[in-house]
Amino acid sequence: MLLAAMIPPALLAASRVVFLVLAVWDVHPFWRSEPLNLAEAAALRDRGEVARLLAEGQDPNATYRVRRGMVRDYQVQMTPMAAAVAARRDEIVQILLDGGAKPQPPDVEGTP
Amino acid sequence: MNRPFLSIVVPAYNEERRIGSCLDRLRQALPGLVPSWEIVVADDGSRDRTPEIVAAEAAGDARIRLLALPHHGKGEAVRRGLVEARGEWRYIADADLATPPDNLTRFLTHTSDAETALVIGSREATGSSRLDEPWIRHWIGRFFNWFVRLLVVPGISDTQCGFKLFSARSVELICPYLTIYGFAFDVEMLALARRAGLSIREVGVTWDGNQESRVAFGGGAAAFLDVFRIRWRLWRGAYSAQPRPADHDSDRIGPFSARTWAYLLALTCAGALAYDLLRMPVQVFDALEEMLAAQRSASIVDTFWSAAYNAAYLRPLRIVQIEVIFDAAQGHYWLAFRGAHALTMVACLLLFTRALRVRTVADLCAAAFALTVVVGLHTFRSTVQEAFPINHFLEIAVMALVMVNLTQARPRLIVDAIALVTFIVASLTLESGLLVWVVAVTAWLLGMRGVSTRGVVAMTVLLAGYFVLRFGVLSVGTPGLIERSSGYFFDVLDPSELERRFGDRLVVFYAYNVVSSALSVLASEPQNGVFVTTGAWLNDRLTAGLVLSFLSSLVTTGLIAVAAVIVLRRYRVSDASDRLILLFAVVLAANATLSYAYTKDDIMSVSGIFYGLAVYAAIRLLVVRVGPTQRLVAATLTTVILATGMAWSVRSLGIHHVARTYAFKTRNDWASQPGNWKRSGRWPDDVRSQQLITTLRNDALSMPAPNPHFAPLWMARLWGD
Repeated sequence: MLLAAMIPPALLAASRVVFLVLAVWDVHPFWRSEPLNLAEAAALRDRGEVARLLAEGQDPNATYRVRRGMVRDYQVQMTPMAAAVAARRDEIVQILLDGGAKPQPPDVEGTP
Repeated sequence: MNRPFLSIVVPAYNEERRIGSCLDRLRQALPGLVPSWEIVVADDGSRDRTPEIVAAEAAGDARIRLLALPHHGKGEAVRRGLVEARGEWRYIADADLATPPDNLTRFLTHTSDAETALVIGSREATGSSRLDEPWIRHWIGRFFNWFVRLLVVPGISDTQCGFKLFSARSVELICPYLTIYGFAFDVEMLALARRAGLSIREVGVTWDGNQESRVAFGGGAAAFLDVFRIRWRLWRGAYSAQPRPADHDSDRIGPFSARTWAYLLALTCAGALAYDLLRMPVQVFDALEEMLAAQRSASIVDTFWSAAYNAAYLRPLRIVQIEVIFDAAQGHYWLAFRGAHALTMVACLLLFTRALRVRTVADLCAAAFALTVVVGLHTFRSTVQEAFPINHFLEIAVMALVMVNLTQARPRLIVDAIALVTFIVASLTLESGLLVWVVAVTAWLLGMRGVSTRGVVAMTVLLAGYFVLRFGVLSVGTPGLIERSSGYFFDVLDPSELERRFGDRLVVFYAYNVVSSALSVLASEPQNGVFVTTGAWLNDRLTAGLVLSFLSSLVTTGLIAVAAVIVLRRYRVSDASDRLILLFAVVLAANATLSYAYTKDDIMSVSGIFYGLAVYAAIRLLVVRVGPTQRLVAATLTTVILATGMAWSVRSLGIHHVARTYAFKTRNDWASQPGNWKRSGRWPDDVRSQQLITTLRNDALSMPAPNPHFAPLWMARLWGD
């Protein structure tokens, strides 16, 4: 009975220790970040990353590769504005406009 | 190694002439009396050959052990012997064997009775006989017994016979509290047994009074004084404070004691959560305005008084704390506020572990389970993710735990002083800080009197002062319907809807809030006042996470309920950890009542922590109570504990997912915020405020927050979005 009470918490503690060790190499299972470009961040509704990339100097009017599964079932090339419209996120459209994106009709289908 | 049925504990001091024959006689008698046994000779620092003789015997027989101790007195030797012994029953026997070993059968007949905890030999009870006892010794003994019955343990005809049988459980309940090393230690043992509600049986024994007595005149006189001391300590409630266990009282597992393992477990959990917190930006909503106000404030005193005059709340120290950290941050706001948040969380888990007073392996297992429950409970989740920019609900939980630890301490003036300061800070930080008073008073009523009567009375006077200040001097009201939105069955109702539905029948809404807040802790349903699991079930949208939460809480609450019934059926609370169950019940009721105005899981976080304390007590009690002979019950309980533990572990792991998701949301809030404020006309005119917002925004954007798109779908199903 003692073991029954102890086994799950012990496993949990062991996994937490592993997480903290992995965090040293930035591969914590819950905190592992995937690098995104401006259009991908817009497609994935990642306002924070869109704002950071704009501040970093990425061009809001350029065309970027958007990986399969983010907007379409296949990889496409599209502008951040097109990706934001495809994701139906007005807040991201606003951030892109504030960041210098041109208010032009986006090609929401993208180029395969 | 299997636990023997019986341990014989022989205290010995300079017994070289008798110890050899004593061991021989016991070795001959025991095989015919009990299925398995051991003899523990507790040598009280003998200066003769006693330890050598026992060591030689032990070398040839693994059932004999020598416990070599420094010389402190018979009481300490008996205590250590009883604690170190491993038997289900533990019999203390003087080395002279004035009561022959065959008398053991009279003691053992009572072991089949489940209620028996302690069987004491008596030279006065029916069936006893005294052989060759000097009359003067007999009458001094009778006078001492009359004195003891008058002051400490009425109804016991002979407290001083050196032959007593203890259950392992009674040793746990008595020995940690023993303070007397001299002749009167027997009296203290029986007083503690009575106080713990243990059943004491007297059996008549044969006693050979022709043995050499070691009680000197000085020791006999000191015994009378010791009886006064015991009475005085009982009257003051000094035995109520659970003593801090010394290292030798704690079981060892590998390199560390059980207590150290418990702290390591808590630190592991706290470290993992602190890492999550330090990856989260400072919150925007409910936090940015507070920080801007702290920046604008002329002084802390001004902040205190302006915060004191509020329409619905009296929380001046909440704002003061924000300003103190803000001023100390020197521009490193994220580090200062999230660092403070992480430290508060670490303090919470360490204080929780300290309150458990882990000593044995069983304690450690129950503590590990309880820690998992505390971190897995949804009320704890919100205390970790939110901060405005300090998480004051978590602070109140910490202060409530400080109070629990104080009530378990040795009563001293400094303990009372710390208790009073804790109460003042808690009550002026949030309304739920009044729970600190509830904890102190309830603990006192339950016999946990580390905070003395004087301290509790002073705190109650301060509480009265709080009400006078709030309602009389400052005219601060109480929250009404329009304060904020609140859950009601399957919906969240905004203030106007609340006003429309309950404007003329407030009692219905308040009653709903109290009941749903209590249920939220006990069953994880409703949450924030909304019956999410039931709603999902009715709409065929039930997820694994909701089912897991509901069932694990239900089963765990069931275990607490079973333990509570066991405790209440004894009519007396017999163990410090048993008290935690009753303490939880009272704190839950008070916390739910304080939550009458609206339902919010954060407010119930104090109850959530105390739920963990009750879980610890329940698991510990059930594990100790179910003996190896009750195989079916033991197997069922083992299965239930294992399955529930797994479920809680999954819930506990979910807190990392929640923290990660919240970090993503908060970072997104910062990305929109300056633009939104400019468009809505809320952008501040002064440059300092603009700089502060820009600094906080840059801090947030520079912290990578994983996008939930890359998290496996099962995480959202299990732990929510």
